[in-house]
Amino acid sequence: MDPQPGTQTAATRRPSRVGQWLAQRRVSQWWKAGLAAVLAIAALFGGLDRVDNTATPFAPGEEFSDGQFLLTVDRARLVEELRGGGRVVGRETPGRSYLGVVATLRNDGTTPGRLRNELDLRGVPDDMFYGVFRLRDGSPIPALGPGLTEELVFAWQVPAGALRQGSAITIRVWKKSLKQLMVTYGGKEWLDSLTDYGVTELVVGAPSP
Amino acid sequence: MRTPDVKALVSAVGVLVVVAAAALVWHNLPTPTDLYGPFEVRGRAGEAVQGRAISATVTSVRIAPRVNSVQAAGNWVVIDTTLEAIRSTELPRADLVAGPNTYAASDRFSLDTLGDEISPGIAQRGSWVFDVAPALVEAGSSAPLLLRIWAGSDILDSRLVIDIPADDPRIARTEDVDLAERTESAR
Repeated sequence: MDPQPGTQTAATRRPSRVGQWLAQRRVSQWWKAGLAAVLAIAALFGGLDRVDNTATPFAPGEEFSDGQFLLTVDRARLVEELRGGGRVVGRETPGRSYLGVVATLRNDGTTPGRLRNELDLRGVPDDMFYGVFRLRDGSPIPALGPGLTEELVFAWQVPAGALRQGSAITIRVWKKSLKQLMVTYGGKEWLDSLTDYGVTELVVGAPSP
Repeated sequence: MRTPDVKALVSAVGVLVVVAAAALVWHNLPTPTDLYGPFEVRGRAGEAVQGRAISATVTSVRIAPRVNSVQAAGNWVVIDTTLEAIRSTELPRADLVAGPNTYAASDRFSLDTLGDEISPGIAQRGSWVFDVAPALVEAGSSAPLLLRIWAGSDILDSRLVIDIPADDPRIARTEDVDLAERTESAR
C-alpha cells in the first residue's frame, strides 16, 4: 500500500534543533531545557541580580554608612521621663520606661532623609517607637536635610522591667539604595535593603567607650 | 532535502521577540513623575510668578546661622514671599533646590512661617525657612537657589519654580533673623 501523501511529508520534515535535542533524551530529562528557559527569562527581568545577605557589625562610637546616612551610635539610657532642652518631651507613664539612644547622623544624600525607622531596636518585646529629637534642645526632628549633621536621640517606650541598667540592646541599621519609585507616585527614594544591615550592641546606661 | 518547519520557527522567533521586548520595556518603564509630574512655571525673584492655583512673589532672602535665636544645623535660608490663591482656597507647599540638594521647609517655626491656607483676593506675606548645608549658601558660593511652590499635591498641576541667583541683591547675610508673623491683606 502506498504511503499517504501527508505521512510522506511528515517523514521528510526535518525536526528542529530543539526537537532533535528533546528526541534524543528521555522525557524525564526535559526539565533541564525548561530550567534553562526559566533562568534565562528570569535573568532578563533582573531575577538573577546579586542579593546581599550580610550583617556588618560596628562598635558604639564607630562610624557606619548605610548608603544614605553616615552615623555613629554613641550610648543608650533608660529613663522614666524624657527631658530635652529644659522641658519634658515624654511624660512619665505607669508601666513604661523610655529608652533613648544617642546617635550622630550626617545625611550624605541629596534629599531630606526620614529618621523614623533609621535605628531598628531588636529583641525588646512590646517596644513602641516614641520619636526622634535633637539632643541640643529636645525639639522633634522628622527628617535631616542633605549635607547636615545632627546629634539625635532616638526614643522608644519599653515595658518597665524589660530592660535594666547594664542590659545589652541590639540596634540594626538597614543599608539603603536610591531607587526610582515605580508603583507609588514620586521620584527616587532611599529604600531599605531586605537583607543587608549593620548591627551594633549597646549597654544600657553605660558611657560610650 | 528536508524543508524547515516554518511555523515552528516563526513561533519560536515570535516568543523570543515578545520576551525580549517585554524585558526592554521593563527596564525602561516611564516613571510616575514622567506620567503625572508637575508642569513647571518658571520665574525670577522679585517678579510675580503665577501658576494654575497660586501666585507667588519672592521679596527678599536672608541667610543667617540663627533664626529667633535658634541655631541651624547648617545655615538658615529665610525666603520672604507673598502668596495668593488664584481661584479657590489652597494649601501651599514649598521646597528649596540648592545646588544638587533639595531641602524641605523647616517645621521648627511652623506657627510663624508660610504653609497655611491661602485664599483668592487676600495676599499672605510671610517666610519659608530652610536649614541648608553651609557650603551651598556661604558668601561667594555660586550655587543657584530655586524655590519651588505648589498647591496640595503637585500631580499633573503647575509648580512655580522661582530662580534666586547667588548674586541677587535681595539676598542679605546676617547673624540672627527675627521672623515676622504672617500677615494677610485684601488686594
